Amino acid sequence: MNCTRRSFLKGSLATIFFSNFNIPLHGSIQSPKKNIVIISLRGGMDGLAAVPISDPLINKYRSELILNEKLKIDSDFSLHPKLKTLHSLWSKNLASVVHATNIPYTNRSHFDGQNIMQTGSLKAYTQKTGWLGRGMKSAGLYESGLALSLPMPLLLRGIEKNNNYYPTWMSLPKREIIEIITRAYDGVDRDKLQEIYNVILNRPLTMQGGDESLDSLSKRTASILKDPLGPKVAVFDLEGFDTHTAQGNESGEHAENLQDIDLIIKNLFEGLGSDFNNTLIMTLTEFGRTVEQNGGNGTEHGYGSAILMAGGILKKSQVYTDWPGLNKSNLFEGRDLLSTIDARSVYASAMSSVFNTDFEKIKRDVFWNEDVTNLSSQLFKS
Amino acid sequence: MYRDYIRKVSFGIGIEEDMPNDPLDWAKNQFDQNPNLIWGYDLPSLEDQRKRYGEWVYGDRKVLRQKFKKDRLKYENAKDQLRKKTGEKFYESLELSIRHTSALASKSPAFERMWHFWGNFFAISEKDFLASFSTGVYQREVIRPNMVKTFEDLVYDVTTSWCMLHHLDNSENIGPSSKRGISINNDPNEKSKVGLNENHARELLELHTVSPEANYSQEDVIEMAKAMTGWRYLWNEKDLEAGPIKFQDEYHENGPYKILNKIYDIKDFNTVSQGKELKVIIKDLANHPSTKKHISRKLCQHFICDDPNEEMINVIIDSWNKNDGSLIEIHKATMEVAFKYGNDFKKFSMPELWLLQNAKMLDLNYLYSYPKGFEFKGASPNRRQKLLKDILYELGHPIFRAKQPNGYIDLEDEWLSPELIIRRLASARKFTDIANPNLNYDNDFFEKVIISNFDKPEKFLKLMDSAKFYSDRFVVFANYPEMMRA
Repeated sequence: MNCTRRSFLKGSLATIFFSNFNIPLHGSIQSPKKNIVIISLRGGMDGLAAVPISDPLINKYRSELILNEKLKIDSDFSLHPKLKTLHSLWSKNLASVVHATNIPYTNRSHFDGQNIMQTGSLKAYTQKTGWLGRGMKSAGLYESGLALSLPMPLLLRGIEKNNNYYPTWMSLPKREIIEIITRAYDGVDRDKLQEIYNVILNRPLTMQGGDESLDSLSKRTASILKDPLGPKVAVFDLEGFDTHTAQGNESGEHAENLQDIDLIIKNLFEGLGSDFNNTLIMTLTEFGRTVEQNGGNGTEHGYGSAILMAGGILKKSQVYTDWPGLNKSNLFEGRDLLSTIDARSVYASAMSSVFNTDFEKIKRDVFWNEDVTNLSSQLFKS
Repeated sequence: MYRDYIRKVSFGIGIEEDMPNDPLDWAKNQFDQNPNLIWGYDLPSLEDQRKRYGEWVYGDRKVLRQKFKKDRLKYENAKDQLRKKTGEKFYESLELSIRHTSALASKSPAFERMWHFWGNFFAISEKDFLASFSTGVYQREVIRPNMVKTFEDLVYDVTTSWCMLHHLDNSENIGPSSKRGISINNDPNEKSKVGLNENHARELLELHTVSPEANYSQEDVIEMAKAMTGWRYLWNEKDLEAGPIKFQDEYHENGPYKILNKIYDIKDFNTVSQGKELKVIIKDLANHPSTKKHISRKLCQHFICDDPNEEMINVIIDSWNKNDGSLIEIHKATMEVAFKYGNDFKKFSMPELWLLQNAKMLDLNYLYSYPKGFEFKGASPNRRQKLLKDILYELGHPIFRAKQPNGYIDLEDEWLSPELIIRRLASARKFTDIANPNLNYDNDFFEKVIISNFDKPEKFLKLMDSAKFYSDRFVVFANYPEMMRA
């Protein structure tokens, strides 16, 4: 196997899948390398279950969903008992929550909502790229994206040469054969398929082996992110937050989903070691859920939710919120937790901090100069 | 454009098959009847499968967990026995095999393609044990016979099927002012309160009929949910939620309902009994202009390109209007519009279609006892019987296990990622294991296949010459740009 710049710099940690002649053009050593990890929560995460508020009103709305055990984080809020790692990081100033927040989308469709949460647009199906992909492009972060799922999430689209890792037991054909296939694209302007073959031909060795369990994926992610020339942006995709029936409380479906988030945070914390200090983990969902439980002891599609965050890039542990209250008159359309913070402001500020890029540039290149607010100084270390 | 068109609307031309004289006529003529599925054994019915589902869920949750609550090992053993008895691991492989056997041996492959389209359009996503027992038979019994009726018939049957009602929680959708609603909510011993569940109502509007383009409101969703109350399984101790579907008035929230600015009042319907209000509402939803546009666009998107234009979509809408939503005519119009625009627009093939096209053109054989089939004898499937399920899983396209009720997204960007393309490269390498042992897969063979399936074969033939070794030919053939898009 030929020695490449990657393997030369990093020894055995990161070498290349195939013997390789292409030396990566990008990925100059930045010290220290900063990482951002987004965990997509599909189905609509119940912010009031993940980060419950102490308010007697809640018992009236959702008697079957009330948590008896909670992990207290301040005088008003607690964490769900399954968010153990997040809670242990809280005392170290390595965990934080933005509450009563969401993308500006109120129509309660999963599919429109998931499209908008990824594109960052105000209207569904009008954009083909994701806010994270555009943010990486704005910051010039090529070959830096990593999805931990079989497809490439819309969130990461918008910049070329992203990778994904989701292992299979099957083995690839020889390099020469893939090169023959790419020759079919000679004379073609630009074909996305051809670009993918090129990414495959340049795949680092860290991206093989393991299995597709969340435990294995998140442990691998830690080792991939530790590579100083490897990806800086990782995206997990979790499903199952659409709890219309039997949502549960301390245990049950929603609790298990929260446990998955906590597992990712735990494995990244343990696996990244000191690099956790240069990392920001944050969740993303299409909407919250109704404050009131429904006929099946579940909840319906709502609006405001919460963003869970962890990592050393956080300024401090805090529940950052402009709490709207749970009186019926404070609820959105009399049923949902209101969103008082545009979640796009949080994501734009995070990208500005992690990518070392001016907020105004992110606002322009990613969010079309729409009304997003710079929260960097409140939430993140610069 | 003749040979390319065959690939666009079906699975390509097999090695023993001749090119049809008039490809458009050939395609259109396939839609007048519902062709029999090709399978040598009796097909399990939806009723059988509902019962097996009930036996598995009831037997495990209520009986075994109680009986062996102190002995984990005995519980696991007993559960395994029940799994074999009910075919929990068996039926998904069986249904996939029926689907592929029929697709590959059919004289109406365009009809089979269309059936696959509707199965994904009215997707049952992965929930509970639906994929293991009933999603395949739902596509056979609920969707397929309606393909020669109207769109309205199809939506109504899908909406009131056990599978969709279970999938989208409509049994939890209980009228708070209904007889049962009041008695449950006033019972001090009932811990759980009941009420509306919007899930099915929302997806009926959003995915199955008018789509968000119709600008319905949250109020419309709630009213739709009310109208759907009472459509649920008949509960009994043995079947639990797997009982047969029956409209039950005692769970029904009475109207009138206002949906998309129209009032539906039972007093206005002479011939309709309560519960059948749903039929009247679905009639309007199914024939709403936004529905016609939504469905026509999806059809164009499946067969022609990711971003179909108005001109393409309108061909199908026109046929819909002229023929009162006859699916036979809608399907024929789709074939016409695919023919008209097929030269200029190519569509990326989702993994299952890609597998079927390779299987058809190269005579791959991954189906156990093809084409006769196999039957359930109370056991798990053997390795060969579940091979297809494993291949689809590796390709990222387990047909009955879409993650969400909108099914698999039929857009190129959804299927372009290094891992998904790695799966195609790696699977093609394994095609040697499923190649027909009686054929000689030399360069001449591939040349013949390419010439009979591609209008412009020159570049492809030249590239195939670079693949010198046996397994390399399969990889280069299967991953050639025009095999990825048709």
